[in-house]
Amino acid sequence: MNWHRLDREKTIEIINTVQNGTDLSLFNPKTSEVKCASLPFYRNFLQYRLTNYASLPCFTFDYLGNGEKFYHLNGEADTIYKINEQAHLNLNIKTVMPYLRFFLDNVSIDDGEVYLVENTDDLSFIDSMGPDQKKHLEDHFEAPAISYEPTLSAFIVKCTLYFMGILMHTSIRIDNNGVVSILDQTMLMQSHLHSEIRQ
Amino acid sequence: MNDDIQKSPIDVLNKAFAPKQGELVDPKKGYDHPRGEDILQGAKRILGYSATGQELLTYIDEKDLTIKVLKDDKDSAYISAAKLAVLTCPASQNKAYPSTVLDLIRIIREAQQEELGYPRPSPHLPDDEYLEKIHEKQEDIFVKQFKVAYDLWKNMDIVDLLNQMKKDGDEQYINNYVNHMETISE
Repeated sequence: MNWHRLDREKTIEIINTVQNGTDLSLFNPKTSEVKCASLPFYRNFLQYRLTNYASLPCFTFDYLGNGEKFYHLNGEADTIYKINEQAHLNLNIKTVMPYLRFFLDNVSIDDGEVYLVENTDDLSFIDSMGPDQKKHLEDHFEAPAISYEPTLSAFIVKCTLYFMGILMHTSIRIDNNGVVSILDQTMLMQSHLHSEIRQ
Repeated sequence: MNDDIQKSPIDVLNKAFAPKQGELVDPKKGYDHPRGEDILQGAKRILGYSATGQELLTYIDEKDLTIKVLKDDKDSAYISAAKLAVLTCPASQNKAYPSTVLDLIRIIREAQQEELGYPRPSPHLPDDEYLEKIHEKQEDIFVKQFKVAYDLWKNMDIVDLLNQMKKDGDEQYINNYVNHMETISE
């Protein structure tokens, strides 16, 4: 993402806006920065990242905002769906993958993080695999493939996900409102290793 | 703390991705975790099984430290300017996990560090000095986390915190600490 750091005046304004009316003082303009990035699937909303550098580790919250209203990306899929209604979501064959990446990055699941694996190089545990395992993975790995299914009024992304220690082929349905669901899965490999994905 | 039944990944994902009824929450009311009190009390209860954990709980009470549980999946932190300890948990979380307990130890210890005269170093320090101070603070937090995890394992046969620390960091490093503790207790 191409982040753009905001000037001091705008930084103070946004910090005041997101904290106004709450009993929280998460961000102090003296020790915090605000940056923003455009998202190809929204016409009038940007992603904002507020970081307070005075804590250890740095404390960061992400928001979606249109300059007036700012919504905390709180890890709930439903928050993104509700914002989609206001943000004039624009999904097409080019923007659906950036949307899926954004969605998976910003929805938290208490069973662990879910990763979209677009390349086998993303998997750090590939280095510790035996030759047969590595060949199995490389032979069966499929890069993401996108199609639009008019009968479902939805995009279908066939891709590989890593979740709960399992590498799996999945078909992900993304409808025109941005609602995401998994249609099927086939297990590709199970890992018991710890640091699975290179960030 | 373990779940005995293996959940299906597809069911877990589809449950997390499902839309809900209702309007978008007012941005100003959307921070608080709906199960925050349960999560915090659960994490405190687990801390109470350890002598080191009890010291941290006493500190919370004596200093009236404010701890907020917020919906997010980013790092938890102690925000010194506001004297506010923030514990962040995924919105779907409904109980304290090992990582929650370790995060709680971190933010309480960070508050103690501030009071003991070890604030976050100024970013204007020379690089070597800055990194040295950050490392000292992290190591001090790590030791507190390890002591609680070790107590839970030895006294309550709860190995979850030690396993989480191994998962988060260097397994050999944790094993060395365990070996040291086992050696000195013989």
